[in-house]
Amino acid sequence: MKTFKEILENRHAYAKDWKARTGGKVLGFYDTYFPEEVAYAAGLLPLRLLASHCEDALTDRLMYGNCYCTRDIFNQFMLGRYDYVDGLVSIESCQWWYNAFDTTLIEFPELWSHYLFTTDYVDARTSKDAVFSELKIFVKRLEEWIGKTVTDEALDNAIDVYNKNRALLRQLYQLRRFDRTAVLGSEVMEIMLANQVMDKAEANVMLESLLPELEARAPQEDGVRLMLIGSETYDAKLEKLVESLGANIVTDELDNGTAYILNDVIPMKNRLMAIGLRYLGKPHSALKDNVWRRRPEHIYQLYEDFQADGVIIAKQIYCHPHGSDMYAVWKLLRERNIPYHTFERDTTLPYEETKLGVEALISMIKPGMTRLHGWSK
Amino acid sequence: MSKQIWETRPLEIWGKAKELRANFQKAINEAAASPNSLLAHGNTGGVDWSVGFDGLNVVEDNPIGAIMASRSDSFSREARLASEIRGWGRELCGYVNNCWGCQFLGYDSPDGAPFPYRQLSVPLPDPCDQHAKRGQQCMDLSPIPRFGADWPMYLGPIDPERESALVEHKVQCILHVINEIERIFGKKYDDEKLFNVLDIVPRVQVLVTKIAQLMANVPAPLGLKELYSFYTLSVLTKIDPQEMLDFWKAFVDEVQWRVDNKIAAVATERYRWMEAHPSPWHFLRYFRYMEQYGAVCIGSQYSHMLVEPFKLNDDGTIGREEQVKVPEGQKIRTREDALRSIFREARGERFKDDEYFRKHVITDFAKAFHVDGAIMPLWRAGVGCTLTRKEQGLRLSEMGVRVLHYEGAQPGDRTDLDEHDFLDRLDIWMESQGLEKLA
Amino acid sequence: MLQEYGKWPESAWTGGEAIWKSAKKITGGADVGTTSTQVAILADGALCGFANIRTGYDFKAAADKAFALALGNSGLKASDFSGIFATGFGRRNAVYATGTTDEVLAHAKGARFLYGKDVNTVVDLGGQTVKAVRLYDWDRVQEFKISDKCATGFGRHIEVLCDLLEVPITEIGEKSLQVETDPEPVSTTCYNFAFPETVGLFRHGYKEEVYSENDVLATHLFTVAWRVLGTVGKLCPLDIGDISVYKELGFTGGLAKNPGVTKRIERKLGVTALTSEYDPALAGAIGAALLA
Repeated sequence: MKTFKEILENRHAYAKDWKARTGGKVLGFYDTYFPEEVAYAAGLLPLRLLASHCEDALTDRLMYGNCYCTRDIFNQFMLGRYDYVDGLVSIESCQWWYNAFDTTLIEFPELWSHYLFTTDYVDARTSKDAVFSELKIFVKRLEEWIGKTVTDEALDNAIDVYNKNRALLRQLYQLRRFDRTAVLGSEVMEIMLANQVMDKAEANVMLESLLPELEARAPQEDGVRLMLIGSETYDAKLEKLVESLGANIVTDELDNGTAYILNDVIPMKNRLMAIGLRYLGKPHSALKDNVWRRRPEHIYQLYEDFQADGVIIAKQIYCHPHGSDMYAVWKLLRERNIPYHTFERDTTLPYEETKLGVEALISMIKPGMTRLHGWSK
Repeated sequence: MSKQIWETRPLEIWGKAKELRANFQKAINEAAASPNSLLAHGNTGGVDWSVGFDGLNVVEDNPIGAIMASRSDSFSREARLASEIRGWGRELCGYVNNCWGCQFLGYDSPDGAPFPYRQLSVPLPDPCDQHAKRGQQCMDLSPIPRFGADWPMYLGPIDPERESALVEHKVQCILHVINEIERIFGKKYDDEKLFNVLDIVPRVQVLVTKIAQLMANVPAPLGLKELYSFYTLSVLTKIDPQEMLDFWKAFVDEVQWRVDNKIAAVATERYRWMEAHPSPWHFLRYFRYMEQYGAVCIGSQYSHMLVEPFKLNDDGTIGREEQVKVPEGQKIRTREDALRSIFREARGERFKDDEYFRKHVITDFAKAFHVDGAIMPLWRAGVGCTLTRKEQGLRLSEMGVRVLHYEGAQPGDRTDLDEHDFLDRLDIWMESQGLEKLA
Repeated sequence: MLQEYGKWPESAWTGGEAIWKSAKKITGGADVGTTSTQVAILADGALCGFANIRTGYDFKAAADKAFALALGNSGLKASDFSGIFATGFGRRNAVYATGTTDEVLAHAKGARFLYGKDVNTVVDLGGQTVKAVRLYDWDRVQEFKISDKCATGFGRHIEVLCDLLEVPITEIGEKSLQVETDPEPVSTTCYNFAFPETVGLFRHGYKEEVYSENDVLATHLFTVAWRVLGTVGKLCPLDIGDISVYKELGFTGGLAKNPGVTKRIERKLGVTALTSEYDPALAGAIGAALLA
């Protein structure tokens, strides 16, 4: 059986293989507020579009100021790496995602596409009605596209598969709640990312087999336990750098980390409403946390639950949702005496520059920790 | 200036405009000082529904941020540092960083009004995601009632089902805010005032559209720099709607007269350029610099956007695009209907809508306004001001319009605008088109 | 040979035999930075040798050379040291080191050595990065901030500006302070934006003001100071009010010797920085030696 790491590294090949095996269509999406269950029920492979680090000589002609993630995903389309994607869907998210969606469609008008409004103000009294209405319309459009009806049975199955997937991933996270954990942050991140490009039924089979193996591992020294928050990440390089310094990322508050798995669809007769409520009830992302500030307290709860010693905030340059949410997060961390280090990421993760800050954070938490030659997990 | 081609003269309505603006500012200041009024932070979006609350004034950050940028480099620099050190990204929009930083320094405006003086916050999630979070800071710094709203939108062809559901969501959000303000502050909302404004505003908008259309004439009776002094007056209808309507009628009459008599904004007009989004508010003198080349700016998608999307008519003129609206002759009788008429459309109300469904809008604009060139700033820190600029630039280039890009932080942030380099670029650009400065 | 204005004077010193021969414990520290490399030798906690040289492109050669210069004719060998710690971007090139330490802690420790135990805010003005550290009284780091990715290299590029303006780097700070009022800074985002804008100030005609050399220097160093304030200010800011730092502030790093930068920071913060008999550029190396 392939490992999650291999699937992540060969994600385009995985999707192409999935298409060949199933004859199904691949629907690319950008943001984790996209209700994947609906697309899955329609027999599609909902594929999270992930940024990479590939050469970019094309996007500058059409984009300016975009964060690297959105620019890179568009670039991958231009390079033909996403040539197997049949459709593209965008939800109400940040403007850079919107821009990537729109510009990609201008360049690739043959792609099927849909814009799904998921409320900006998720807590409004009528947000659920707006989302429900949007989901109904989305289903109608999907049915026109694939030429078949999305049945209640298919929706029920999709809800089951996705709930199970989230439950298994929560189990994976739970393994790092204890002292002397045997699971590394980099391993978890690679699984999380691979999972987002996979057929969840297949991912569930792999997770069910993997979890007992991980639980059976011999516990190791903990080192410094860190939490990662900030803009999305698309690889586990930062986690590996942290591990090389004698620390471990034990939890996160990332859109493609805990925010992806913490709540389930609670089954209801009105399936679409049930799915909509799950997405409205997700832990607020930086962008959607725009009235009452729920996110800082949520971060704190995760920090406590996973017994972290400090926080790394990695923000993508030009990531406006996180740029405009840092004030409240810093304030809370300071007030609660939580050591933290903020830094900006870009297309690459400059090793020495990043290491300088992470080392200083670890050293601040446990002086002497980084001075131990040859220390490794 | 030599080489005069057209007759020119100052606008006569200038004095009246200044008076109206001063009155508006005075009303805001009085509201801040008066115990009987409430000053809210926020953005009511389009027609100001807050008109129904006597004494409620909603202050938006964009104009304040822009004013700060144009008035004092050092003050806005201090404000932005105050904002940055507390965690707000320094690559964020200058408007919001100016305003947030100003509050951290203990002020609520560059005029020195102390912070906090706002008593509630109505942050309307905006098409721009930085602005969607702009209400949070005054809420963080002072325990004031706070409300949320939404800005629903969708792309694609008009879909009545989506229209009705999303507009209804928006309407219900605002109804909830109005009900809550009534409950918390014990003030009764006066629906008649809202209905009255809704009667006036569409008529003002028609006049504003007319002004924009008149700018398509050669010579341009009005340049963008002049228009910048007037355009926000179209949305400041709250103080005295009738007075505002009268002002715009008089303004249209004067501009029409200038067109009829070939009175130009720039006496040497021989080159016309367009823009797309806001200009650097602290450095508007490049308009005067360009006059040395006999160049006039006939407006921008941004300045003319305030009067609705345009479409190119068969005769080459530009007109208003039809939108979903209250049927003719249907009298608005309820608050709900009033709000529905304000938020009438959910399709594509975002900065990129023109690219997605109306790619031709930018080229239509260029055709209708007879432009030779386009100056398209690339604002590194202003998403809404930057989206599509490169794509639009390409589209204009393809139709033969010469395009100049220059970089800066954001219209309300002077940090990264290299003024010398910008003027250099203008020289090179104009010279590359065979134009030299007029003696 | 053309004068290289951006080159600052290198230095080295080795104490007399009596100091290190009687010492019970000799430790060393090497701070191999992107722009400069320092080595410090401590004998029972007292400075008995140092070197401060330009790094150049060969980090290993610089680390070796600085070590050799600091040892001087002492006859000491690496094996005589009870420990040598390396820090800085190029720390792994100090092959004689027995351990490494992070730069924030090294500079904090070094600052306590330079300025005494009262120093509570340390600002390291390096060639590549700026680091601001807030210290508890017990030598522990309370909070630190490092300049943003898009704000690095100001120190290094001041050298480039000096070559361009043909003003020795040791003089630019004082010259920049000879203006009546500071002009507005150029772009405070990063060096790459600031430098061309600074160069642009020499052109006459666009601006009403004609910039003198001192004006240009003032503008540029004000820019550097303002960017540094963006890092320093992040140490525990207040909810409302201007920048707040502990008053006991000490600068370290090469730029600490440039009053055009430090005085402007002091003005804004309303503090007078602590002074030391030692070269502030040595702080990282001394701190590493203290930790060894």
